[in-house]
Amino acid sequence: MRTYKYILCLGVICILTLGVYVVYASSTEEPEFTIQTIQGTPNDRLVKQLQFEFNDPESYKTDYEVTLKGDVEKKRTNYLSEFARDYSDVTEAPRSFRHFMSQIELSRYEQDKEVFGLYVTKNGSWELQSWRRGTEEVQTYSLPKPAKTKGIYYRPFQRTKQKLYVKRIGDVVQKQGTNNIYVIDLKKKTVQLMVLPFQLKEDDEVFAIYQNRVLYRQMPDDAKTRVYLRDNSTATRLKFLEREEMWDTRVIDEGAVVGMTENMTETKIKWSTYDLRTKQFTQHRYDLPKRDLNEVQRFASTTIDNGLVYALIETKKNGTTILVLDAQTEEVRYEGTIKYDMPKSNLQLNEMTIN
Amino acid sequence: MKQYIQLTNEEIKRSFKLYMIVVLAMAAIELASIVAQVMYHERKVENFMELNRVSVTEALKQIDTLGYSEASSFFSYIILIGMAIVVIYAVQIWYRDWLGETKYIYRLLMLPGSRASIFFSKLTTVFLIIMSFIGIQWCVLQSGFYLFDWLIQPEYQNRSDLSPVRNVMRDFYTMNLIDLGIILAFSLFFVSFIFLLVLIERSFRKGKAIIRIGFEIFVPVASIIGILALLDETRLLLESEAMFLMIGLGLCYFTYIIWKSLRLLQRKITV
Repeated sequence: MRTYKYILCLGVICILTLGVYVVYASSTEEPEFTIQTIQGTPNDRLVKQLQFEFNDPESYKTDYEVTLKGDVEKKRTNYLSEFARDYSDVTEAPRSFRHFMSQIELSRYEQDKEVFGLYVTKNGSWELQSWRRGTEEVQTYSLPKPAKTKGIYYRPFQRTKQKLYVKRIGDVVQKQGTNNIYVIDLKKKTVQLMVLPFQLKEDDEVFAIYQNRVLYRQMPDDAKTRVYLRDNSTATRLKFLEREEMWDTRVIDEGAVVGMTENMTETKIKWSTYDLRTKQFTQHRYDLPKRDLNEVQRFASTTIDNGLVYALIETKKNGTTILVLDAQTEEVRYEGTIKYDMPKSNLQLNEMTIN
Repeated sequence: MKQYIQLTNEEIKRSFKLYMIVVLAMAAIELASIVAQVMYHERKVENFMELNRVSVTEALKQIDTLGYSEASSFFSYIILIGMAIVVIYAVQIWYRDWLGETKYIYRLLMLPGSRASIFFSKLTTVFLIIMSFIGIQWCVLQSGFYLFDWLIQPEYQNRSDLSPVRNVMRDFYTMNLIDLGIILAFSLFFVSFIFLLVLIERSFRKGKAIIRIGFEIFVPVASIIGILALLDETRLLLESEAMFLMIGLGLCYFTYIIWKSLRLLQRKITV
């Protein structure tokens, strides 16, 4: 035994000290999540796909993904998984689509759970692929070089039935502007040029196109924002849409309606819609239940997607409250809370994803 | 096997005193840095109170409370020193046998049996020292937290940062045991690489040795850059697939390092 005194001594030091770390790291407590549904059902098609990611600050490489049905998945990252992290947001898609989406200088657009990727090849022809979330089906479109195209910067911005609208972006647009947009017919697999009766520059944005009506925002040289509705040959300025907080817009009903969130307060969820069919602007609000004044509100956000308003309010006392409202009718599709029990640590809500 | 264990024991014995001195000195410096940080913060708050004639609460609003991650900031420098010591030791463990007065290497090379046990005994010694450094550092971090908690006045303490895990080393001690395995595997790879360079230097004349060392460094670095550039340009593989490819190549290169080192030790190095 004395012959091996030193190796034993160093071995024991390693086992004891690293053992302390291993035991400490393995004995971190697991949170217990409780989902309480107040209104609606977590089996609703658009609600059951919601996923909430909580992070444990005590073990910051551990995340918990919770669904409203109560499924909890513990996810741990390590040095290697961080190195190989896929930021494409299409990790569930078939490999060919993920591979296609990993190309540089590819424009991506998502509407109503369908993800589009548009890539302009060296000879100017367009490659378009689309994948519907939750399926294995990938559509591929090889499109000949459209008329009046130059360069590689084109971005889809709206899908209406079988038409995908694409605008040109990049340097040329920034300097001179353009009055062309492109319409891809997804059924016939063709591209057509659509001439706009006005010039679009880099900072300008087309919010939505509905039949012959175009809702767009322009940033003239004086840097003031102007929003117009172009209807045939007349352009009407819509001053009520010229507020900075309304710039984050989403198309609803395939471009017939535009929805935009406003700053959420402690007591109200606010959003607006503009209907291109009826030219009606509506401000919506939903009053939140009263809470204790001293309750610390840690996180609050509102987003519009799939024609629904998703609102999150995270408080220390009540956990995370989730509200899913119909963006046009204000009907509550779902209301519920996620609470967790973890005495030694406060989990932090990282994000909500709609898969 | 018996010869390998005996040689490992001998290697550890020859460095044990130095090892204990380094470990105790580093632990003492780290714990002293916690005491110094707490005292410095306390004095800063008191000076602010005296100069501006304000209460503790007002002073702490300006100066901010002290958390353990801030108090343990000195630990990261000690880790860097620890890494440098390991690198120096990985070189010294070979050269001391050649350059020492006793010319111990001749005794080792003359031993009956495979020379592989000489290589693996040295590798095991350095690896055990790395493991013990990582383990001891964790224990010092834990002890440092209790010392910090005991020393600091409650109102001076940053309550949101009150956990032994939230220290300056949280990117190293991630609480994920896979990360610990990755750190140890990378250390083993790096030490083996240093061993290979030392053995090349000992196997060839000066000029040839420099060329061969340059070759051993240039080829893997150029290959990694080339492969990464190719993957980035062609987008042939997804991120996860590229990672598995790199791990596979890393394992192949590690096998080559061990094979080459043993070959040099058995065939090139002569008494």
